Amino acid sequence: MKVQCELCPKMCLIQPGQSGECRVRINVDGVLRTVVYGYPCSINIDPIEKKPVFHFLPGSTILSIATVGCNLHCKNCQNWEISQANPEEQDIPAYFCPPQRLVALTKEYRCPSLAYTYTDPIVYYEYTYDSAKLAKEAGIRNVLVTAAYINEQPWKKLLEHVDVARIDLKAITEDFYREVCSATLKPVQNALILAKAAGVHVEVTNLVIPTLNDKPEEIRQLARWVKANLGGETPLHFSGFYPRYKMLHLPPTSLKTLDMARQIGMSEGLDYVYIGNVASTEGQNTYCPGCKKLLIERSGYTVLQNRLKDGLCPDCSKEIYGVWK
Amino acid sequence: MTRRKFIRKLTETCSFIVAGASAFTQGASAQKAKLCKFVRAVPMRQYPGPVKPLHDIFEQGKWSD
Repeated sequence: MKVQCELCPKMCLIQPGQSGECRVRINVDGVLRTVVYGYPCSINIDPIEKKPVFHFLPGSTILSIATVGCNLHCKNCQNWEISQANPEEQDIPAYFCPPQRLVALTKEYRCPSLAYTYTDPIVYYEYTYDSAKLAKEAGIRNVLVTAAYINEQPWKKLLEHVDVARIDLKAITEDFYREVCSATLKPVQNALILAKAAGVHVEVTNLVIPTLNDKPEEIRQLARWVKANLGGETPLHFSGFYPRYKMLHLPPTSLKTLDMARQIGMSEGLDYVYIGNVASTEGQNTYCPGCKKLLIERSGYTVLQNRLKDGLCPDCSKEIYGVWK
Repeated sequence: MTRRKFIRKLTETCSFIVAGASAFTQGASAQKAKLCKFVRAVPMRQYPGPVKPLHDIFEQGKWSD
């Protein structure tokens, strides 16, 4: 008997014994099963700045997990070795870590939050959901790092237990999503709007890829969309691309292009625009949108100084968007 | 052909068409009933790949994000 997975917009029709596009949700005797529940292939402690999430407990550590699999197949994927892997692959072992153990580990290592990251938590939805629910009950915050290619109903349900959604808006055109990611743009935009409406702290990342989505007009359109639909206070991160996976023929994004993207973002009225994956000083710092003074100084993943006082600018008392304690 | 024969043939043909259409519809709904839809998947008991004991997690992940 065929099954249909209604988790993401791909709506895979799965034959008996086969998996969906994500490789980790399979049809076993007419029942949809997840093979990665409780089996992450990566568990590490990262700085929160690595996600990148800049307006949530700066300088804190975050226990970060991923399982193999992804519902997107981005040709530029930086983590393709795990995102495009099958669970059966011998060179990518998993660890047995059910939700209870995961929450216990997060507490043991004194991490205030738990990140579902590296691949995409959408494909290990049940593991993410159960872990996030347990974590929340234990006073741990949940951070999703995702492309948010998910249907509305499961997304809304998951958001009930999520504190932060760091969402990739990979481009602002359907063409890019179709040709580079084998996906579509609309569901991602919808998921972003829903996350913001649910009161979740949202930060957006856009990976700027030379020749594919680095045109000033496209960047302007993306920044405008963020401002109009998520609000000018939403942090937007422009990340530098490095040649990986099926895009080895393109050069890395130059600092000049990223600086240009940042300038466009700010000129469109976004309060917090950052650049990442490159050595930059200004582009990693947080400035007060009111008095323009430096609030948080960063270098790489390190916070050098944090001048915020209870979420307010110490100079002009402007409230700064974020979760600060 | 007499009128009676014509009516009989017409009746037979119509019944054949109705029977065929009905069988086709039943087949289609049977196919439809065979499709189960899921949002939430059920966890498997066993992982299909290799499983290792947990390492020292207090090191930064090698993966991006």
